[in-house]
Amino acid sequence: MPIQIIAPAPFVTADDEEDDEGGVRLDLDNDGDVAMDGDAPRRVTGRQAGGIVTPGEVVTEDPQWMRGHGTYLSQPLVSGGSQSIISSLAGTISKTNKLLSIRALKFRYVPEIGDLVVGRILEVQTKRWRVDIAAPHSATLLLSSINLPGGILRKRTSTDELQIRTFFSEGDLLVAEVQTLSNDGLASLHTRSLKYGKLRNGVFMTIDAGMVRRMKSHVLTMNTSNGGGEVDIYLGVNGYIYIAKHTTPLTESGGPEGKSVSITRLEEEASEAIYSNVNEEISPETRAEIARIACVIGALARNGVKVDEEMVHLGYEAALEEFLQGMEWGGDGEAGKRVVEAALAKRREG
Amino acid sequence: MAAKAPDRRRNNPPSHGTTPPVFLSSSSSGAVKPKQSSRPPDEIRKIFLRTGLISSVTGSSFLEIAPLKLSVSVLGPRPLPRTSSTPFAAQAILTTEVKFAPFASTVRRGYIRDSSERDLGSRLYQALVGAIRRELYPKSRIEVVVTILDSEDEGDDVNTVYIEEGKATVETKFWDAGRSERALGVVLAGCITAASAALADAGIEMFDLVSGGVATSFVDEANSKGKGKGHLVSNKLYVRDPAIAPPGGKTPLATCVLGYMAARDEISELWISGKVGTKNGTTEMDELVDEAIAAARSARGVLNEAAKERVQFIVDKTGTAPPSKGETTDVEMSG
Repeated sequence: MPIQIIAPAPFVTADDEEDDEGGVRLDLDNDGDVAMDGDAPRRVTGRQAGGIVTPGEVVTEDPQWMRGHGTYLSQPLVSGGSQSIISSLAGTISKTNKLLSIRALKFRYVPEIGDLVVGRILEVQTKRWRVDIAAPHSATLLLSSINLPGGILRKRTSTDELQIRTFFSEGDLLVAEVQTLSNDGLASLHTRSLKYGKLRNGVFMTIDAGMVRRMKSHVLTMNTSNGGGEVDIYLGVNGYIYIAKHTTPLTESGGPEGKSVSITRLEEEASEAIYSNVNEEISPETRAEIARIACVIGALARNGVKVDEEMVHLGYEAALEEFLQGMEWGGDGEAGKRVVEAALAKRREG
Repeated sequence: MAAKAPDRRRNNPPSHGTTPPVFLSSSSSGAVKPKQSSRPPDEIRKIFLRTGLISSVTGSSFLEIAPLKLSVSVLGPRPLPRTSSTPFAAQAILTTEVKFAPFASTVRRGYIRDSSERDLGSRLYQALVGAIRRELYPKSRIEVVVTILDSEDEGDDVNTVYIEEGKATVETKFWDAGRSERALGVVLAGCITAASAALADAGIEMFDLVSGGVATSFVDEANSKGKGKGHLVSNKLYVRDPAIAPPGGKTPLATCVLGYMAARDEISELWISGKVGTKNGTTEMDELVDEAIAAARSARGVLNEAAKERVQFIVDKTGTAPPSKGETTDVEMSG
């Protein structure tokens, strides 16, 4: 980042007359200079989408816009005129139809029902776990919201409460879905599907929340090169990502031998193994490809490209072409940028 | 400075501080007398303000105004600790902490916060608490931690050592009285401005950015010696963002520090110390406050640019706007 010293803006005398807002208008000229002038011409149409605003800055005075996230309405005017929409964040303006919102550079993940999240157990309580999902508040996972060993239809007993640490203990990683939200935004998770549950055989990484594009499915299975075999990628909407060696999922569609697992056989399949803390044997080739995918996802996020299935695939291909051997570019920003640019070029080509 | 509680956990330096060696032969180098400021009294010093320097916290900023250097970290919003003693909080709880680094002033500071640091912390709290949209963050806390790395010497009890033409002299200036307020005022104003930038960097929603401003009123030295109220009606010189050394032949009367929200024209924190009188119906306090507001407005320009700069940097770097969800162009609705 180049270093420059910003000179203070020239002083402008306060002009309190002719200002029915009871305050100064902070206006942004086209050349980016800040003018603190009470006599600035009134802007009616609002700013360009993508323009940058700071807290307290008037976004628009036009009443046709609805205010979205990151904005608030000014206090009612004595004259009875329309209230202006004011930014409460430093960020860029985004317009969705008639909704104006400000997107901050950094924001925390806000859970929504149905989100697939990757989380880490923070605390074990009597009938629940507290899970870190990168949101302002930690989420809860109730003992009644998990698949108990021995089958999906089994009732929770007091024995399970006593053995709560055998399912998840502090520091364990899991993939779950947001089941409910309380009215103050606290999330409650569930893992009542064989797609969800404890994570092992892989590597955990974080990127900024919001760098993961919302998709139809957030669990990707990739065929990797160099004898790496299949690799599962859990792209949590909260920016937590887990990349693991592919294990045959115990879903209704495909059992270990390709035959379907009926609901009656679930209790045999969903055994204690789903809460195992022991990694399987992972070959060096698979480890190398897992690391390569982690590097690609990190590079995408660092270079401001949203992570989705297509970009992960293209980025992985680009990384293979750029560096057939070795993972030495992992911390190399320039190499990461080259890979991302190659991936973007591939996407343009279609 | 208040008497420090003995700190038994650390290997403490001498409590009276240490003095660097003074080499009399090198007349040209070494400490020089604070030079009289050449800037006009209505101009504030140049401000360097940058955000996002500390990657491990939610938001951060670094501010430099001539000798003053400070860094601000913002942590949160994060959940309140779940203890029985923690009351329910419908709004976010803000905590502010101001700490001078032990090496920040000529007199070495302790590691434990002293009364002036706690005082600055509560004033900073007052300046910021009204600006943050706390109702959006229930059951959360937001922490603002300011570390002052370098500051103008604010101690009343310090004699100033000057070196001139190979001769060291120790002077206690008449203006040493009240310099503590001026120095702390500049520090507080800097804390407020930098903390606002750090909060904006953290993406915490605010009604407006708060910028800090300082102004001091000065009177001719000759007038100040007279008895009675003579000096209160004579012409004042108002200096925005005052340096430690007053203008020649002037003696300080009062200092005003405030936190000001320019877009809303609201003062969130006001601190005046010294003597103020009345003149022709307008109080000098109003004049002093107006001067401090003017200083805060000038600082606001820098604050706005600093808040924008980082967003602009990311936008330029990636060619894309910051990430978001729910935007029409971004949602992939396949299948």
